[in-house]
Parts: sequence; structure tokens; C-alpha cells
Amino acid sequence: MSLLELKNLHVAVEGKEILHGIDLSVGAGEVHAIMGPNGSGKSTLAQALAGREGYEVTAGEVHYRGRNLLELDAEERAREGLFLAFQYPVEIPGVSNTYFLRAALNAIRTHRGEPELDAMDFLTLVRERMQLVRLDEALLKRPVNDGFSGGEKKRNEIFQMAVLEPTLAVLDETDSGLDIDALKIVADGVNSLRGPDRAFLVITHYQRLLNHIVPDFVHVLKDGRIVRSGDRELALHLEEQGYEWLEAEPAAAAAALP
Amino acid sequence: MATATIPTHPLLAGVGALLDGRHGEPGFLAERRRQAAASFTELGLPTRRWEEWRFTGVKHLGEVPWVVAERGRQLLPMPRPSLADGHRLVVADGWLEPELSRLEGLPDGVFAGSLADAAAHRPELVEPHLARHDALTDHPFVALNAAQFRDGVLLWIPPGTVLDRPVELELIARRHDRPTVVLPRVLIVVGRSSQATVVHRSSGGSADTFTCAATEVVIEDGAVLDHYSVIDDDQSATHIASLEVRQGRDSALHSGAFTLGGGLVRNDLAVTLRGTGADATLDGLYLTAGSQHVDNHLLVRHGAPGGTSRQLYKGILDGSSRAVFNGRIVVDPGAQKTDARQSNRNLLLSAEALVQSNPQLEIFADDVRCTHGSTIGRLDEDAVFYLRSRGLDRAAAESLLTWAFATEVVDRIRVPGLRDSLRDAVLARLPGSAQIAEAL
Repeated sequence: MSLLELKNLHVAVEGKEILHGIDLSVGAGEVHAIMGPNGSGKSTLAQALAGREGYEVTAGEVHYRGRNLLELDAEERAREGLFLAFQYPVEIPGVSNTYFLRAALNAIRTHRGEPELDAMDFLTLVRERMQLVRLDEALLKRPVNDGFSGGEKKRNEIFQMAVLEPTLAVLDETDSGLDIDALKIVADGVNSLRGPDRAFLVITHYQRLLNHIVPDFVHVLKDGRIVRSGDRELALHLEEQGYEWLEAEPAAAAAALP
Repeated sequence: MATATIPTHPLLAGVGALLDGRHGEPGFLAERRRQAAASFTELGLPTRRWEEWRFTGVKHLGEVPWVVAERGRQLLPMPRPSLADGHRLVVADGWLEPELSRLEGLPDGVFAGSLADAAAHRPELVEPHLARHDALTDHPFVALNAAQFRDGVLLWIPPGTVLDRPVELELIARRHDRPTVVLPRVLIVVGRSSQATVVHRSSGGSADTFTCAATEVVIEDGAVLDHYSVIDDDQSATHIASLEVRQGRDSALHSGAFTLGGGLVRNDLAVTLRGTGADATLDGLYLTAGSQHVDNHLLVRHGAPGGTSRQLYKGILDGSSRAVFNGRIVVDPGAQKTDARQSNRNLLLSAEALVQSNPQLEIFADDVRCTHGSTIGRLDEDAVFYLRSRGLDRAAAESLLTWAFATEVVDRIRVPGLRDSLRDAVLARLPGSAQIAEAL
């Protein structure tokens, strides 16, 4: 059974439908890339999966670990192991990274019926996971994302993911704005977290991230629909041909569907 | 002459005996009371037509037959534990309670005790400073207090003296069975190159008390004062407090004004930088809920060159509460190189809460830097969602963000016990505090 199953998902924002029926099945241990041009609905999909208010599901179903995901609030989804790495991580002045992450981790652990981590065990865990994304420990004491560079914010997202150990991670354009060194650090962090029980939905505009996080499946989202699915070759083809290729050759595109 | 000017306003009912010397006060005090009583009579109670009282109505004060608190004999509510582990002066209904106070270990030459005693026996410490207002001159409640306060505190620190421990002024209002005016008066003089920290807490006020408090502070050349005030009365009490600070050359003030309780609270803080190079840092935090109304009126007058002032006042409003912030900065013609900044930030937790925020800059010098900013807003929904997406529920997320908003001011308190107590007070107001308290 799939970890995540989307059936004919329609999502509207402020009364305007953005996603027009998405079907997608993600199994445990799989990495799926969602590619597409700007405005195709990639971030809408990410936000809707994370449970953002204002992203109204007008039709369709989403099942996650055998449950109806749409019945769960954002925090319940997080506690059930769904993690969204934000395209634009929010700056929260006054809330230290450490406090915030410890409160989050303990909320998740309590939900799982595990004991809360005390300050010492938490610090040990955090130090270990920081090394995955080579974050400076000084950033821990700083307010969440406050004054972080773009690269630090994205690494902080992956660091949080490493601490919270989700079952399904949705990375929303985590590569945007990163130089190649930062991109490699982020990709290494993600790769080190890959495993048979954890799935990733990697949303990106560019193929280059997929050189470092090699996906099992690639889907192309356009105008709110998945217009093509394939393997890694599809991403490489898109890199060469651009998204216009899809419009120019609808018949060929259809033929290329597996 | 004296009897001819005895005013008849009901709030001045007890003033006659003070003016004609029946309490044995020195002449200078009777004279200042006379002036104050005349001033109050002339001004009368403020109405909403007064610019400074446009958003704060005090009509109810004129409709109640108030009596002035006499020295109480009934038991006091147990004073709260010390916050600062410092020297302590307990004032009940405006009267110093020596047996509850703790003053051992003060450096030689420091006077810390009853203001009435000091006026009678050490007039040389009191006479030069008491009721010598140069800012709050047309404030009826400052005049009301001066006309008929009966006691309070004098803290007089001689030149070149450093107080290692904070001085706590614990002002308590007793329960009364009829409407009672409490008139605490505090005079603090920090001598040249001296240094002190004062924690000034007021509590106990209830529906039948009107606290009309006046504090004057003189910080002489090169002296440093940290002054924290906390108002934590019942939600039904009326509390009007003034703090006037006069600063000498190269002196420094750090003021923290925290309003947690009280039904109607008005704080006037007037700071005059009289000497060159003086520095005033004025922090404030008001937490309001229910039908509370809290008004902070600040006046910073740069009267000399090279002065620095920083105002950071923050408000967190819930329920149908109201807050007023009026921040006035005046830069006199000679006060070149003034650097004055003001920031008032308000967080509204409910749709019914309301803030009036009003900056006023009056600049008469041409080589100055003055900035001001004011914000009124709700919690950032992007931030709330970000926290929820990590597993915190909405109440915890909102509490964490509200906490973060408040701590910017609270963390600047330099007395650890007071800082902890205010952190607890903020946490206690937050619905999701149980989830986040452990992490904090």
C-alpha cells in the first residue's frame, strides 16, 4: 500500500482552482520529484499537503498512512510524520531555534507515546544532526531564521527535518537561491536521511537538484495537472528541451507516458 | 491667606488640615501643598476635551465620594516575596510600614525611609526636590497628590555611592469598605556619580480604591538609575501614576514600566534631559485583557546637547481592552546632536481590542536625529502556520509568538528575580503556555 495516495485532488485558493485533479501514489522509501514551470501549482500542492488554511480541497481524496489526511490539522499531520521544508522559511524574531525545535520534537514524541527528551539528550541529538547540514552551532541560539542568509534558511529546514525524522518529507523548492556548494550540502543532508521507511516529494523548477538527489520517479506539473510522469530521464529531457517542449508536442508527450 | 485659598473640590476634602499646619509639617511643604491645591482646583478633573486625556475618561472619579486613606491599623495582605533580594520598603495605603521594611546594610549616608519623617527632620534632603515639577506642571493628578499625600518614601543617595542590591518599593493598597484615595509619594535622589536600582511595585488596588501615585526622580551628574515599575492591581482598580525624572549631565536612566493589572491605568512618564550627554532608555510593556484600559503617556524633553533617548513600548491586548500610547519628544533649541528614538508596537489578540498610538515630535534644533515608529497588528499567520507545520498546535504556536513579542522588553530587565517574575506573568496569560513552558 502506498504511503501517500492522491486521487483526483482539486485545490482552490481564494475561490480560484489551482489544482485540477492530481493523481499521485508515493510508496515508502521512494523519492518523487515534481517539476514544473512557475505558476503550475507546485507550491499549492505542497501547502495543501501540509494543511495550510486557505488552501481549500474542493474535490478528491488524500490518504496518508491509510488515513484521510484531509481530516487532520496542520499540526496533526506534522505529528503523523509529514514534514514540509518551506520555499520561504519564516523568520520568527524572539523564538530561539533551540526552544522552538525542542517544543516541536516533544509535541511529536508525545503524540507517538514516547517520553519527552530532556535538555541534555536534546542537545546531543541536535549537535549530531547539525553536522548533516554543516550548520554552525551558534545558529541554534539565534531566533528562528532571523537574519539567516538564504542558504542558512534552507539548511535550517533540512536540519529541522533531520531532527524531527518525518515519514514523508515535502521539499518545496529547497534548491532555489542556493549556490552549488549549498545545494550539495542540502542534497547530502537529504540523501543521508533516505531510507526504506521514509519518502520524499521533491518539488523543484530545475533539474540540477536531481543530479544530487536522484529521484525514483519524476512528474511534470503544468497548469494544475500532472501532464507527464516518468523516471529520471524525463527530468534530463526537460532540462534540455524546456517546459515548452510539452506544449509543442502534446502527442509525443502523451506517447512518452509510461 | 492660607485659609482663604482652601479649595472645596471633594477630592481635596482632607487638605485643610495639611495647609494650616495641623500635622506639624514644615513651612516649605505647606506652601507647596497650597500651590498644588490651587493648581488642582483651577485645572479640575480632566475631560475628554483635553488633548492629553482624549482617549482616557476619568469622569467616574468625580462621581464618587472619595475619602483619603488614613494610616491603617487592620492587617495588611501578606506582602509578596521579595523579587530582588534587596533592600525593601513597604508602603501601605501611602504610609511607610517600617516593621515590614528591611533596610540593613545600606551604605553610609543613604536615607531610605518615610518621606514625612524626612520632610520634618531632614528637610535639606527634601526641600530642594519635592514637587519641583518642570514637566508635569498642568497634570491635575500630580497636583492632587502633592496637595495631600501623607507619606511615602524618600530614597536619597549621597554622591559617589553605589547600591549593590536593588531597593524594592512595595506599594500595597488595602481593602477598603468605602471609596478611598491612596496617594503614595516617592522621591528618589541619586547623587552625583552614584548608582542604584529601584523596583517599584504596586498592587492590591480594587474597585474601591483610586491610587493616585506620584514619583519624582532626580539623577544628578554622572549618576545611573535603573527604575522598574510594575502595576498589578485588580482588574477593577483605578490607578493613575506619574513619574517625573530630571537628569543631570552624563547621567543614565533605564526605566522599565510594566502594567499587568488594573481596570483603568494611566502612566505619565516625563523625563527631562537637563544636562549635556544624558541618556534615557525607556522600556514598557502592557498586557491587557477583559475591559482593561491602559494609557501610557511619555514625554521626553531634550533640554541639553548630546542627549540620547530610546523608547520601546510594547502592548499585548486581548478581550475588549484598550490601550493608549502617546509618545512626545521635545528637542529644545539648544539641544544639538540629540539622538531620540521611539518605537511603540502593539499586538492585538482579539478583534475587539483597540489601541490608540500617537507619536508627537517637536523639534526646535537643526542637528538632531529623531525617529519614531508605531505598529498595531495581529500575529503573523505565516509564522503560526510555520510553527504548526512542525507539530505545535495553534494555541502553543500563538503563545510562542506572543511570548517572543513580549520577551524583547522583559529580557532587558537587569534584576533577575524581577525578570523571572515578569516572564512568569507573561506566560500565565498565554493559553498554550503549558506546552511551551518546558521548552522555554
